[in-house]
Amino acid sequence: MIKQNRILVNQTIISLLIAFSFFSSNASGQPRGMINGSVNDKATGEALPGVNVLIAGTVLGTTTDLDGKFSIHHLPPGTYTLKVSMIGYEIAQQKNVVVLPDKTTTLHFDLVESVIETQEILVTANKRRQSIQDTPNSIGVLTARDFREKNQVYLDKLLAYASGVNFIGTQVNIRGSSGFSYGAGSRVLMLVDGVPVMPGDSGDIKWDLIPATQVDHVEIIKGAGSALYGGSALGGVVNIITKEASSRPTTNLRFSAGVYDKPAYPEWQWTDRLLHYDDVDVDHTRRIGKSDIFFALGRHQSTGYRQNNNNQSLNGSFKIHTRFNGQHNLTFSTNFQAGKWGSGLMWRDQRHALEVSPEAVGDYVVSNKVSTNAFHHYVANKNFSIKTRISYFRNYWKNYFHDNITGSIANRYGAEIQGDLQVSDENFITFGSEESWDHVNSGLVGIHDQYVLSGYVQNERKLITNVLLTLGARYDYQFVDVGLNDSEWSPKLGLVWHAQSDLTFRASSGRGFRAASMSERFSDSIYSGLRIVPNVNLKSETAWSHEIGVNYVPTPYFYLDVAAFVSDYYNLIEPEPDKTQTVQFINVTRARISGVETNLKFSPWFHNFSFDIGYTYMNPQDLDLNEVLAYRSRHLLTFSGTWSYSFLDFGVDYRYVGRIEKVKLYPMDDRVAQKVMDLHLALRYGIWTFSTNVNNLFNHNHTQMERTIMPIRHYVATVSATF
Amino acid sequence: MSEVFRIIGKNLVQFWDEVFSFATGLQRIILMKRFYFPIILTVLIFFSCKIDTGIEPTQSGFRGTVHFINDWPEQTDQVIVVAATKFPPATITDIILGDPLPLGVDSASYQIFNPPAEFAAVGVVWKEKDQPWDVTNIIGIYFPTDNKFSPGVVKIKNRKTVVDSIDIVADLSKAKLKVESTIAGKLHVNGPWPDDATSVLVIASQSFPPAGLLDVAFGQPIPAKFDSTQSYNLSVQPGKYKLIGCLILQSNSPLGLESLKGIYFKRPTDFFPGVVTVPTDTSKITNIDITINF
Repeated sequence: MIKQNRILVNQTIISLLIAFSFFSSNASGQPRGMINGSVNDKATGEALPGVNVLIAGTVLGTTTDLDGKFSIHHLPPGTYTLKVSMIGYEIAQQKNVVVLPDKTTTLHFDLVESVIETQEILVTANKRRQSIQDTPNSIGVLTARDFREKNQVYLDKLLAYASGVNFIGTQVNIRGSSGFSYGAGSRVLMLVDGVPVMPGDSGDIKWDLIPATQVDHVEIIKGAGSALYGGSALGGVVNIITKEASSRPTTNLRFSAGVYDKPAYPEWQWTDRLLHYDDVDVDHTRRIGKSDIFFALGRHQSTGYRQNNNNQSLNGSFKIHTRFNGQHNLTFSTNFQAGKWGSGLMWRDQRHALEVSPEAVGDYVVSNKVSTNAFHHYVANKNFSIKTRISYFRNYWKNYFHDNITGSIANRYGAEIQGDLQVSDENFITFGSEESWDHVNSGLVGIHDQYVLSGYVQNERKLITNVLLTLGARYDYQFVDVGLNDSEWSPKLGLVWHAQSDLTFRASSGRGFRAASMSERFSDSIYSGLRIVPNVNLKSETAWSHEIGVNYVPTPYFYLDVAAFVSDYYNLIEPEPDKTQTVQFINVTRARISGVETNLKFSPWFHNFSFDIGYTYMNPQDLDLNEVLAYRSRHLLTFSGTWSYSFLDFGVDYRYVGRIEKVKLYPMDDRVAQKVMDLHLALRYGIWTFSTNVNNLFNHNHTQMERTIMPIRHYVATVSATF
Repeated sequence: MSEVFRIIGKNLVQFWDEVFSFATGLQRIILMKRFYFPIILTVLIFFSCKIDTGIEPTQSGFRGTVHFINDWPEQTDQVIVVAATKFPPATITDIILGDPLPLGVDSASYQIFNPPAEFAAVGVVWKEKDQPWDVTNIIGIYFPTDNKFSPGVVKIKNRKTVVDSIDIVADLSKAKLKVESTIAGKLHVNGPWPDDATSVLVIASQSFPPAGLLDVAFGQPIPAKFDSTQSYNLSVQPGKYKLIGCLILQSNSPLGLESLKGIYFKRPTDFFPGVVTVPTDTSKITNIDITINF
């Protein structure tokens, strides 16, 4: 059976490759032209790297290198419109760009910095670059500026500041989607440069794989996204876009050190040692021959702020990007992480909230992860391109607990072929196929294989000049080695109406699904005294998400986005404990989460100030029990205020997450709303940036899941340089 | 070397220029009246808010001494004090656990810190090596009176209350080793269920009548109000069981001997309950049917 399935996967991939090759065989023949250009900051005159350059109405585009230069080769002669955009700058456009046979057309753009980030260019929402105003879903973007200001290494700490996003431990919730399931499964899909990176055993997100210093930006797609992305995109998608390799030799250095303050109460003081952490990161990019390379290394260590919270880890990245000619681009990238992490699931008791149970002192986990991707982009002609990816992800961990030593190795092999077809100026089709094979050898779940075959197609069509319709669907077929199989259809409908140049309405409806992870289906172990028993008959959980929204940007200094949403969940997989401390994952809940999300950005008073306020109200209902869903909050509020003057930035961030009304394990414990305020100050001088942060200024003590106090007040100082 | 000094000097001049222009800009901003509004607003908001520090350490709870009797089993892994808001507890959300007690001792004092709550029972639970926690593996219960069927209620009234003298006798001979032996059969119902019936507990006792709750082996709760017949499977230690019966849990009534609504008899005309012998730790005794009469 396993062998047959593997052959089926291979045959599917080969058939698709042949089909795509046939489709794209009309590649060249007539003489071609090219466009060269450069992009600078209008105010400073500095070259801008990483700027998106798109030729409107085609599948063609590129990004600028570190010198701010770009070139687009093998263009059929004709007249084009170029759109140039970058996060933090206003979009520039040049119409009537004429390309002649065997000639080079040269262009130059000066971009004007926008005080608030409004017109981001996106990559993920529809698997192609697109303006945020053209996507029917709500999208959040975290940029390099956010990373710089928040001064955090791990991405989960940064995402907690995004509107509509909150965390329960390391489990990300987009509009309350995930709840908390003790690290098994995730209702949010994590992609790294468009490739799913979630281990086959636990199916959760490994936030430590890539530190923020190696990331260019993060895109958060809200609502069910399975129509293009398949399983796990039930509540949304987080796509991490890593830094690009570039031709100009550039090195970034960053050293950061922090200390934790004393706990708010003497009863919680568990050590006389100074609790601290430090991070060292370095990356370098340069051109060698025809290839741009990027590599990065980082070392991070912490004593932790609570017992068993210590960790040491090493991260690395390598990326090589080769342009063979104007038609072929090949990118190979790999990321790895290795580390040792203290493990303290729950406090000893509320009087000793920063300590673990005495017998658990010294419990730890050793883990390492490797993610490798090869991506080939072939531009057959101005209207058709093929993207091919193969990927490999390995996740290894071993627990060294006082009552349990267990390990797991999960390997995921993936392949995807995607075609982008610009049928006409008003009609764009994205289609493709994706396959994955998970092989797990684990002390928790045993030895298992799981295969997924899928195909998708999406059509974006302008109905009239200012109305864009998106129709798409994806079919996923999953089979597991114990004889289980399942198939899911995930349709999607989206509508965008540009009512005025500054006013856009959008509506979308889509279905998402998530197949049970192997740990939910097969776990059979004792974990911290809890007996976890398998349930091989788990069905996939599914959701329908609907949303309407309006986006209003009357000036570059004002941005307002309001969305109303409702998500209906079926067969939610939840861990259910009984009185014998036995836990089993079962399909239990029919649920609905509805709400409103607003995001306001504005820049009053000379535009030195910028404010970003996000508020989400949710009504998370368990329709079976007619009560609130566990591990969800009704109110999420984020506020960021920044004052910038010349070389100085000063800012304040505030995050409020309403009290979680229901938990599964210890409902008698105190639970409070999360109220966290951070301050940051940065000073830039030449190649140097000096910054300091006070995180959790008021030392607010709260839990996200039961019996784990979140980080107490800590102070961070960072020095970074780019040369 | 002179080149290095020249570059440093140039950078210092540039840095000073930046500092000067920053100071000038700051002065200009501060002198503008409209700048006062956001400053004043921020300061007012800041000082009008009471600083909320969130969760605080618990001062309240209960404490006492556990007195162990009989020999410590070799298979002992941990022993802890457990408190349950409902007795018997339905899920682990009804339970809080204390720190592990020292092993091999005659007695041990303990203290459990917990926010205000009312506990229907406090007991001592035994855990076998290489086995998960089983909070039905009770070796001692807090009884404030001689009635060994009625666990003492412990009420933590406020955040400063520490309830004292919750002393428990833990009988280590009651520790239940992991076994495969079971008693199984069917439950038959005669008459209408009480409106407030929530679940059915099958019990077995090696003494008749049982001297207290510790003499009784409890099964997993079976949801009440099933149709006329329901199967059960009770895990028991090897031995001779003189009472096998059913307790009906009702939301409006405390658990007691009056909750016993069904007893196993070998023949319907028998006066004494049927005796069932479980010879080994792998024995599976079947067809032990019980009729529940309302």
